[in-house]
Amino acid sequence: MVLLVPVALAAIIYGTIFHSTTILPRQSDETEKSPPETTAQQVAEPAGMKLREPTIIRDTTVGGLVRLDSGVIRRTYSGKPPSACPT
Amino acid sequence: MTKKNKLQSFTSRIVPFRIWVQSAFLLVWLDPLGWRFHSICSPVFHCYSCPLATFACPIGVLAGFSALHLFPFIAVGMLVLIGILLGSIVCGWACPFGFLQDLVAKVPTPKFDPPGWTGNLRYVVLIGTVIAVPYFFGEGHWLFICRFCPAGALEAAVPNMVGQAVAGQKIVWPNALKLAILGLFLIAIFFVKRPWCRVLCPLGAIFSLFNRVSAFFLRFDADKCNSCERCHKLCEYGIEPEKSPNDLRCVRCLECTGCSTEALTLGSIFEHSKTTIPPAKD
Repeated sequence: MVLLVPVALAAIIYGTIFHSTTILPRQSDETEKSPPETTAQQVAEPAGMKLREPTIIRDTTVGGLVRLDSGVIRRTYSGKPPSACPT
Repeated sequence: MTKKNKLQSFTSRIVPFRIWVQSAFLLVWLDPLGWRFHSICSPVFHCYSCPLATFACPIGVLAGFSALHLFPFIAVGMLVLIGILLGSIVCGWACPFGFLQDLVAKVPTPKFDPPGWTGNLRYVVLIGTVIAVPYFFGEGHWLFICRFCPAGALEAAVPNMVGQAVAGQKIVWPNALKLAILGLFLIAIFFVKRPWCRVLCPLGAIFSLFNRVSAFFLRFDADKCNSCERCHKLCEYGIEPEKSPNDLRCVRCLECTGCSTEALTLGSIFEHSKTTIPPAKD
């Protein structure tokens, strides 16, 4: 069972340094930032940002991320994160 | 009387000061310097929405990641690492929510022991409300752990409501289930020792799984036992330590090591003793 120690350490290191996930920004921001000539196609598929796991943990603590029915993860805020989670 | 090794000497010296060790850890979790390291998981049950929370709650992170369909490498790695080294020592010595229950348990009220089988409810809470419900129904479901967690209600919702009232703002009340469970919890802690830890805590459920394989474990020396059953009285959680020193319900407060014959001691895989009984033989 002591062999689990290097496995656990590897998981922590992988999560801290390498693990990242694509997150879409808050939808209203994308719409606001879009120039007038932006097509509907571009608005529907905004560019995602890669967030590392520690950042995802921090966002989770304030309810800052939500998984949509389509399977994509979207931020629920823009600018300064909320001070507490909604629950 | 055999000579104590260094670990046994250290244990016997520090056990009487457990409340002070818990107090010291409380200072670590309560963020006295306002650092708010919420990108880092702590190994204890302390709501990250508490105005005084240094780190993120690992259970909240597990549930949140489950809702996002992501694997929480850092949280799982940290829990496995702590578990495999210490088992549930964290519960007995470092957890602020356990400490709160320990303090209230000092109020001289009649105490009752929940039936042993209720300890299995912790695994139901872990699998159901921390993993399955968030994964299948998302964080909006009423059975999402954070939506009824009494630690969240006590450490985050109540202080935030007080803050809103003091500031003259509109008070945002938590949901009825959360308030009901908080009320039940506040009553239960006066009549049951560590009711949350023993019956419902999902973090304790995780650490308890490592009790029988952790690097530090409780060792029972049958040759030294004179069957006085003093350890039964020392154990506040209804466990018979001589029969099951590394029981899944044990929070490793180590009070049972106060046995006068020293039949129960803290052992580790790092010591080389002929009398060491591997924890797997429990």
